[in-house]
Amino acid sequence: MIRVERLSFAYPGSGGPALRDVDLHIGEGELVLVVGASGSGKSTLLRCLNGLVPHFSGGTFAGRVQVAGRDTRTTQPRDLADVVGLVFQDPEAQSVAEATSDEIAFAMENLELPPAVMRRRLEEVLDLLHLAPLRERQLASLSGGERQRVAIAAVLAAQPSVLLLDEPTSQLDPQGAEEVLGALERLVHELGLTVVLAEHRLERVAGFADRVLRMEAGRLVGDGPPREVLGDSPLAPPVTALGRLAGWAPLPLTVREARRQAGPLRQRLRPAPAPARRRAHGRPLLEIHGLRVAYPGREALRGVDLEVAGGEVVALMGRNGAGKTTLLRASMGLTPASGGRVRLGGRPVAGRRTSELALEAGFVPQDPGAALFAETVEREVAFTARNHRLPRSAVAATLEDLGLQDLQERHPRDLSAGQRLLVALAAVLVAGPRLLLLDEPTRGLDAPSKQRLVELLAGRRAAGGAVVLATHDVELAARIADRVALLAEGELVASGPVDQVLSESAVFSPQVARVLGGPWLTVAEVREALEATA
Amino acid sequence: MTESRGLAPLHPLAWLVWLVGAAGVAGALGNPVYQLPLLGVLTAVYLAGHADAPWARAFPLFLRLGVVVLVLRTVLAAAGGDAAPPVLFRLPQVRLPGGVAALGGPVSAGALAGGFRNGLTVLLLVAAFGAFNACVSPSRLLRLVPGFLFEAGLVVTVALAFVPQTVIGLNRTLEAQRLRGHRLRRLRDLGPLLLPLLAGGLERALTLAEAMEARGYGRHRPGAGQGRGAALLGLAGLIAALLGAFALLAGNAAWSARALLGAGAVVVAAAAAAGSRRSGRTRHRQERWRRSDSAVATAAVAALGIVLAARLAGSGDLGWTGAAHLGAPGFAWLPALALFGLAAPVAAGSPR
Amino acid sequence: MSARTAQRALGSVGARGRLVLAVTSMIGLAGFAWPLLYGARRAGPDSAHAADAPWLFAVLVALLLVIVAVEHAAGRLTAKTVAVLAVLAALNSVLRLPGGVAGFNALWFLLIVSARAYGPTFGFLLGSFTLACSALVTGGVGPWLPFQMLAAGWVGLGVGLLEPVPRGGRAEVLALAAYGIAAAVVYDLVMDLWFWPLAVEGPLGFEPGIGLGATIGRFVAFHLATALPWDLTGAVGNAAVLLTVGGPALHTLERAGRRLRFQAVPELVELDQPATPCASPAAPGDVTREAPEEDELDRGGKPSDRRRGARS
Repeated sequence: MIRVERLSFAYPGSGGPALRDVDLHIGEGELVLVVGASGSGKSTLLRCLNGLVPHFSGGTFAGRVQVAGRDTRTTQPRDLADVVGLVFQDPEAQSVAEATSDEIAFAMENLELPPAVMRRRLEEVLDLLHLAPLRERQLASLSGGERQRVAIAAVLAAQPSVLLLDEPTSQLDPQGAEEVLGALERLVHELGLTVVLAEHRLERVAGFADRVLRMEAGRLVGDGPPREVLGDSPLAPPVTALGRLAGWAPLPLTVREARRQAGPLRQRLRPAPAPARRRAHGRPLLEIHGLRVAYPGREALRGVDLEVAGGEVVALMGRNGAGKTTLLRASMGLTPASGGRVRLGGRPVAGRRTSELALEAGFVPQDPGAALFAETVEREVAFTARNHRLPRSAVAATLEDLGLQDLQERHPRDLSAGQRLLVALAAVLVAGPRLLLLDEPTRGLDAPSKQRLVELLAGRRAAGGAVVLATHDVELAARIADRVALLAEGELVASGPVDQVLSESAVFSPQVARVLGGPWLTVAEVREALEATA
Repeated sequence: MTESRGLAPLHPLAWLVWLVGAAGVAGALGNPVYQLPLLGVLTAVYLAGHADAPWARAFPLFLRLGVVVLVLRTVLAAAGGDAAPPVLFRLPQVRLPGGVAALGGPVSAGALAGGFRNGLTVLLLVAAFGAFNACVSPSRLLRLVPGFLFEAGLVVTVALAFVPQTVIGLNRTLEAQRLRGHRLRRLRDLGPLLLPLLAGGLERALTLAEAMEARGYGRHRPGAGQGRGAALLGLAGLIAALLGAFALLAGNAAWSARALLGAGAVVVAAAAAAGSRRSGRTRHRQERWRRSDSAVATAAVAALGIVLAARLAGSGDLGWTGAAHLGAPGFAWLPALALFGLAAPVAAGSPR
Repeated sequence: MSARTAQRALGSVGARGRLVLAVTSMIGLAGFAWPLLYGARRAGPDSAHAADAPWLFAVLVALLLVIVAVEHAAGRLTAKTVAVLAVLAALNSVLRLPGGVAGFNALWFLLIVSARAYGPTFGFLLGSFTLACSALVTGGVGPWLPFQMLAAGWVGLGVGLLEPVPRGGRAEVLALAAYGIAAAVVYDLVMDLWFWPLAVEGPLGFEPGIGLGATIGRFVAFHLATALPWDLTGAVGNAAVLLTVGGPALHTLERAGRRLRFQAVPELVELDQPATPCASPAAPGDVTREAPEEDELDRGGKPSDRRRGARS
């Protein structure tokens, strides 16, 4: 089905090749997972498979790629649309129409199919992805998961035999991600579609991939069954890392597989001391009492209490729309409170100017790249420094703290998602706030970037600062949070130490907790405990 | 976004035909006895059919514009200093610098009535457009774009879909910069607001272009040679039409001018037809043309036809012949009935 | 690679395309200026039709726009150009919304800068699409729309007059700011010319046979009385925005243009014959070097200013 021979590619004007000497062969009906850090070539590889590289991007292309018998060197991507389709990361940026059915029909209209055929295929595709009730809805009113499924439907309308997906769940919440991945699994099993999926979040996908390709710096360094490739890779879901640690064979890819072999490990861990949980010290930096926030038509927050003191990391978790973002925004005075009190640094937030509050708390909203506009990273951070009348030395210090010195002269929009997040962090941290508020920072981050983030947050905690982190990413919360506050429908339904809240919840528990039970949340904790008892 | 509030939405082409009818009738009338009821008809159509959406709120603005023109024209016509009897009153006369014109002087009833009538015509035309705007959603209107202009229609469709995202993005950027201590005081503070919006939009455009290509956009692109003549042919026709229009307006050689005009129109149509053969793209959804649509379209065409026939025949008291001395305007039943033909959208279609 | 070569988003415009634009502009000018010409003539026998003129010319100008679309847009817009036109038209429409951006009036700034970055023909299309999108968003489609689209198209097209100004540097921004003032004034003038016969009659209106000079004089009086103060503040506002934000905006557009690669021509290398590329000669704007051998890809070309795409 897909044959890649000695593929090498360099983007025009770039410093080096994006892909080096890739050879691979993918058969019909396989579900292939492509993993690798940002910049390793995953996206480029996918685009080579549908002709966007080299025809859309230009550049120097060596080697050969054949998809369903067609050679991409001589075929334009638009002429490959009926054999291979590509779904992108951002649900909102791919659409050309306002209503669902028009969006799905776009590909069919381009293929000049007769209207009767179009109507039939539209119904089929809506049924395949369980989208029938959304048929006449406006795209703007759909959730992220629904929009991505519409994007998949729009691509499938051309009836390709290969479906490529470039990090389709990275901008979605867990529910949306489940919808999309469930749909993919169904497509593979029912239609026999060949699916090539690039992903960072392996927890859900590792279980049902047939094959994993691992990319590093443009080279294909791993190609084989998941257990084999993920087994010795640093990019592995926590259960696999746990299995590696405990020496299980075969290495588990899902929680279910791990549970079967977990008995002896649980025994070993029984006498081990529970992992130490940090307690906050220092005066409270953020105090919220009885906070109510009302938007026209609904109440976003109903009487929430939260106190955050220096030396702790608090994770805010909950479904989409539960009020996490509203809580963070109310803490910064961006959203007026209709009831209750919010105090930042001991003084009420109401009536104070945002530029003044920014010295106490740094808020990085969702999509940190949205505010970047300068030509270099250094100037970006300097912009904030100038606004607050801070000396230039503060800029250099902040860049060093975050490890951004090498990237100083780069254009911020050229950077990867993880690097952009660091720049956004630098741009608020230069003002020297003790409290850091982050809204969904892990969108689009690869594993090394997440590790950097964890280290950074741990560093701030150690220095006496505090972090409030609104996130869907349970594994991240397990690694860094000390306390978790669970929101639902604007109310606080659970609040307490991380191990207590996460292991008690069925939905929000990390993989390690699901296998071993509380108080174990991460592989690192298990490793420490084993070393302690050894 | 809901369509009309109580009616099954009429086909946008039916609305377009209605608009042509309403505009044509409004332009042909000069008698307040017909004009004022027409205003009522247009307002009724708006009230019955307007959608509940941001783009449907401009009707009051259209009315306001029309009223401004009405007042302006009436006042200026009166200030024209026409001494024809009966003279209502006299204003002091002012000569504008440079001898351009003289304002003031005797105000004649004829001038006043004439200005009022002409102003009403403009008001009606503008109101017709206002009602049309409020009742037809932009996206349905864009579906009417013919096949040979598909790409142009697509640009506007995508742009429309992108506007709400842009407004949200603007607010987000505003907030994010505030959180970095930015305050909007001087003009140079606009940069941090506009530039991220621009850069973000262009990045989106890149993804969008990839997605479009990946879904086969541009598969049927005619060769460079095809359609070579269409645009030039169209231009030739338009030049002919232009000359005919000037001749017609100058009042000279009416018949030859009309013929020229007609010939120009034919050539333009031929050019358009040549253009439409180029695109092979099919369309998945054609809006259904219902009986209510036929009813509205027929009523509008009939109304226009009646009024134009009356005008050509010189009957029906379409103009206000007694304007010069503020005599009672005439009235005939047929044109009045024609007006109610334009109220068809109010009645057509059953409530949902 | 110098960043200062012009990027023609629509590709090179042939002689036919230029002819179409020129002729449509002339016809369009007649469509605006007919009151002046009319006033110059002696009164004819049947001047009653003068009242129909604005509507007649509205249809004419609409057809003109269709012709331009047929020539430049139909069958010639690639996915990239459609996407960029749409995004910029949307941005422009938001800038035109009442209230502007936090109260600042920035109507023409983005259009002028985009036309400078991507070519005057692109600018014409962008101007027209912007007004169309703006009208649809605000529900303001009226008989003025074809004229607005044409005049906005001229604002974009006219940026081509600044071609001799060297790119990059102070001169370019100053030229754009000056053009911004001129364009704003001309646009308002021309739209006022459209509005004039509708709004006035009598001593301030046009009458056939009073001579060209008198007609122009009356129009100027009308324009001064009604619009000029607003026009001037708007024009100066535009120039101010161009001076402050124009440079960085141009950078952003040019950068994006390089990323988009409107005329991307890939270099295909056959591995068996390392010295011979497969593709046609690279277009300007691509890396123009001799066919790389297989391992030149590893050595990497010139040190870049890091314009490599940020994809993984």
